Amino acid sequence: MITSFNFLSTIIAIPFIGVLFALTAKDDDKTRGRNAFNVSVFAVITNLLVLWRIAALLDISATGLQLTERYDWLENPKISISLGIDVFSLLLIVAVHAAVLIGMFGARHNKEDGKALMVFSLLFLCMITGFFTAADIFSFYIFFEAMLLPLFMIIGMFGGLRKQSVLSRFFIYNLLGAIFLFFATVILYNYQGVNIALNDVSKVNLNMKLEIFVWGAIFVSFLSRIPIWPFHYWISSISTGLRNPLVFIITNLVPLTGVYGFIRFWPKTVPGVLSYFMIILEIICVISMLFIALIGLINKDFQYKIFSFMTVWYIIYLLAAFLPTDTVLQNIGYALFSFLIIAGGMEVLSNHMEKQQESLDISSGGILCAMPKAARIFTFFVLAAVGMPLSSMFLNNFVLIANLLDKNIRMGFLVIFAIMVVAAGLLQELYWLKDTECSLPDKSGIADISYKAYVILLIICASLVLTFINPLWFIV
Amino acid sequence: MIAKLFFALLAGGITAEVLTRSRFEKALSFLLLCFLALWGVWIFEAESLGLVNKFSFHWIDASLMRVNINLNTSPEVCRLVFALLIISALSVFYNTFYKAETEGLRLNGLLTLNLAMLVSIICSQNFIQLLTAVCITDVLCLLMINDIESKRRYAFYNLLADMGLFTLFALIWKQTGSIDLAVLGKYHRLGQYPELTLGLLLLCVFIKSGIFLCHGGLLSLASLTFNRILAISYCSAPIVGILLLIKTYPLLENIRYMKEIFLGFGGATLLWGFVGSLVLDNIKDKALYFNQMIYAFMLGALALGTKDVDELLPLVLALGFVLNAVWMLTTISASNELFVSNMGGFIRPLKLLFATILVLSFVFVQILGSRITVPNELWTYSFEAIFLVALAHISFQIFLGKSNADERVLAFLKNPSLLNLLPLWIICGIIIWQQEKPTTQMWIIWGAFVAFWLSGPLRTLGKAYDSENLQEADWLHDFYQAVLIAPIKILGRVLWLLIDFLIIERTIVSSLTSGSNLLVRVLDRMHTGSVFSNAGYVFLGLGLFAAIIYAKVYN
Repeated sequence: MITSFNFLSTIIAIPFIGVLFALTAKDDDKTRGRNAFNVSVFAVITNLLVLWRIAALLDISATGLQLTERYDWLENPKISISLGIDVFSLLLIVAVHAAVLIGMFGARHNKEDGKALMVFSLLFLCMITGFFTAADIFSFYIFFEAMLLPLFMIIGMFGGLRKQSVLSRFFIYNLLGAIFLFFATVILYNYQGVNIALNDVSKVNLNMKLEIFVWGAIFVSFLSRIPIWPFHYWISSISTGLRNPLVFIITNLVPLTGVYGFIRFWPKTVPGVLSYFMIILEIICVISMLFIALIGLINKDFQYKIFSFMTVWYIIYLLAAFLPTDTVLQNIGYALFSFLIIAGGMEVLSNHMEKQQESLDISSGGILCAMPKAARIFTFFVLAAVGMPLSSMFLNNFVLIANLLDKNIRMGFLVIFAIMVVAAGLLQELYWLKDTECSLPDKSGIADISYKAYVILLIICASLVLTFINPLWFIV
Repeated sequence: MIAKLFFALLAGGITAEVLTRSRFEKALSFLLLCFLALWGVWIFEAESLGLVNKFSFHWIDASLMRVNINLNTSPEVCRLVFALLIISALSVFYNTFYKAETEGLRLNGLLTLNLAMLVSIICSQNFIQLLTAVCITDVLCLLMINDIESKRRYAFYNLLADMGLFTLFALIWKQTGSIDLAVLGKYHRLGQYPELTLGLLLLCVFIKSGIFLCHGGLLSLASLTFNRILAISYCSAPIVGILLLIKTYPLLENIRYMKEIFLGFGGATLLWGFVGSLVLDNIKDKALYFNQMIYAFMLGALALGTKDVDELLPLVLALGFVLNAVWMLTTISASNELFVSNMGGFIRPLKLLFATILVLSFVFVQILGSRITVPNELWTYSFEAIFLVALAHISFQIFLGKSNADERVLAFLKNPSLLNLLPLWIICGIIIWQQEKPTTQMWIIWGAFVAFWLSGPLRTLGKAYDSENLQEADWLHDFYQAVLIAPIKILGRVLWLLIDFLIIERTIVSSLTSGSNLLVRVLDRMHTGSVFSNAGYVFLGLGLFAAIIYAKVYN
């Protein structure tokens, strides 16, 4: 699709402009970050509208990146920033925007440093949008690393009680990933002498040693972002300590960048020298998935349960990404779309319950009995998360799991076992929160979600149901 | 016709859900009842006329998967849908007039939506339509359950069942490349995982229909009000299990030992239901065990290829429903007394209910008797005997046994209103009218039942009601907790302690932190800030530089 307007740079620029406006917004005891919140929400919604326009312009049947843009950056070495988009990246960008928007609504009553949170969230959104639209290895590398800066600040400011130890782990793991990807990028550039388009990375003919090194480096750099053993610990430890839904959502978007990296870089057929490592990687993925699902089941913290739910599904999407089918990738995109919204919704509601619990000093058992509106929405999200036919996760995951079973039936069954464990954990929590037998000392003091929030969440639920009604629309 | 019914049910159900908090809840429930009754008449007409028409629309039209929603009309479909429509309408009737039900319209709305999904299951011709409808009935059933413990158990059991079905269809789809239910018959000829697919399908069906070893979810419904037990047992999950079995039966046909498996599990379920109905005191538990027996019988009947199984199913379901309704009306008449040990001698004040059971037992004998053939003879007689013995024993305790009811119960004991009894009599009447003329053998069996009832030879079993351990026992749940759930939880805890805490936190992270601290301390000591130490560092750097140059030049 040829168009005179630079849509892709616009969707990167809008959150950045939002940052500038949010920075200049008045923030005192009276406004309490409300101005920054309004600006941020406006920026995200504006971007969603532009994304809508992009969706209309995209040719669903076309292969490869569309609406491409190119900006020359350096003459020697010759490096340019290339951007492009396809249905898969569009879906991810929209889902990330929707999840962050839900998180912003959830964190709007955050009294401390609300402005800073909104500024860094917008900055993160700007970088992750750039990451999903990057069309060459240098742009990809730049955005891959650039998103760590706002993330580092967000964790540093809102990372909960253990933020210092978490920050050091975050730094170590991500530095490791950054160094490896940097080496891989430089080697690829040197080998070809030009900046390489992302789609062509797998076509570069390297000698065996270099092939092992480059792909190994790419492996490690992306794995450092995904909670796969032994890289899982920093995200899991931060997820349990967070009490801010927006920070939780943003932190848990990091593994998505790793999964996306694999999907974009990974060749359809694994290079021969790497097939041995692939089996090891798959084994590690499955073990990590089972490990995190089992810990999620016994952990009483709901944040950890959401984290384990997200991790199990991220790993499933990663395993599915290794399957040599284009339609599977499209499915991952659409399944991820619902998945992120569901996880965001659950996190926002769980945070609301936790706040009520803390302010009244009560147990969480039966708390939903006093919040009928929240109970309805929360039940919907949990049922959608466990795979009931309420969102696109139902049919898209059917396609993914069918492909995984077809590839390796044992692996497929372990994946299904992990899904069941994680679903059992979520249901267990739901019925604990709705348990009528738990005594609530001050039921009248518990505040349900506001009417406005209820309506917004209802709209989100309705849009999820729409994704169920038409789950494979983009596959021609 | 069926398509119109499907969309009308969806519209009716959604409207009822939207108007739940309306002031005219009862009137709206009654309207919904009329709506279902009217559709019942039309579907009956369609069946009588042998109406056939095809209706399908594309749901998903992608190269990866083309899913059509089929809602074809045929006499077979109409017969089954008619039975379910009537049972659902009866359920709506009791929900509307049952005083203990506080959310009648909401429940009726859910039942109507549930019926739409049952229609979709009956008409489905592909996995996706079937799977989607099954999962939606699960969600609807979950919403019908209003007790948290029952909800929890139902959710866990059905999660397992749905994942089993999901896996089964995913597996077959990828291996055959088709989502048509028609491929199920050919599946085993391709030689792929016959045992696995059988296991997955049976797991799902057994859980949904409450078959032995998988009955925890169904039997936990005893804590619901009677009308909800009726609604769920005869309009939701258990019937979904049987319908699923009917739809996927071609997959099982080629398995050699399928009949043995079905009869084994069916027999075990029958016995379990029989024992449960005799020894448990709570009449709701008894009702659920009776239901379990009915579904076990259907399982065996399907395996044995009983003739007209599609006719037998609606009849057996209708009778099961009537029996449950009789138990419900008994408790209502006895001021909501639930324990049979606190009843007895109710024959005089509850003559009409007594007569209803007599008629019901006769209809039961008549229906089964007319379908006995050589292959299913033993199975049908066994079921008939077990069921009638249990029915006679409980009826004896309630109507003829020594009265243990307290004065208040006795004072208010009276026949239920005709409004409540009339639907049950109509159903029994229609079935008697439609069946063949009773044979001598049927009269003998029924006579034996009446004699058994009047004599009450099992009266000593009443002592079981005194055993608190027996009444509260939940062996299967305890067994699963000990064998499955506890090990999984222990494994999770051990993994967390061993990997996360001990290895990563206490060993790797701790060692890295200590190592970095040590390095910092050593460098701090070395870098004192004096002139000599600075000069030392400069010379060290120069030395390294010289060494590199040397290595480059002379190597």
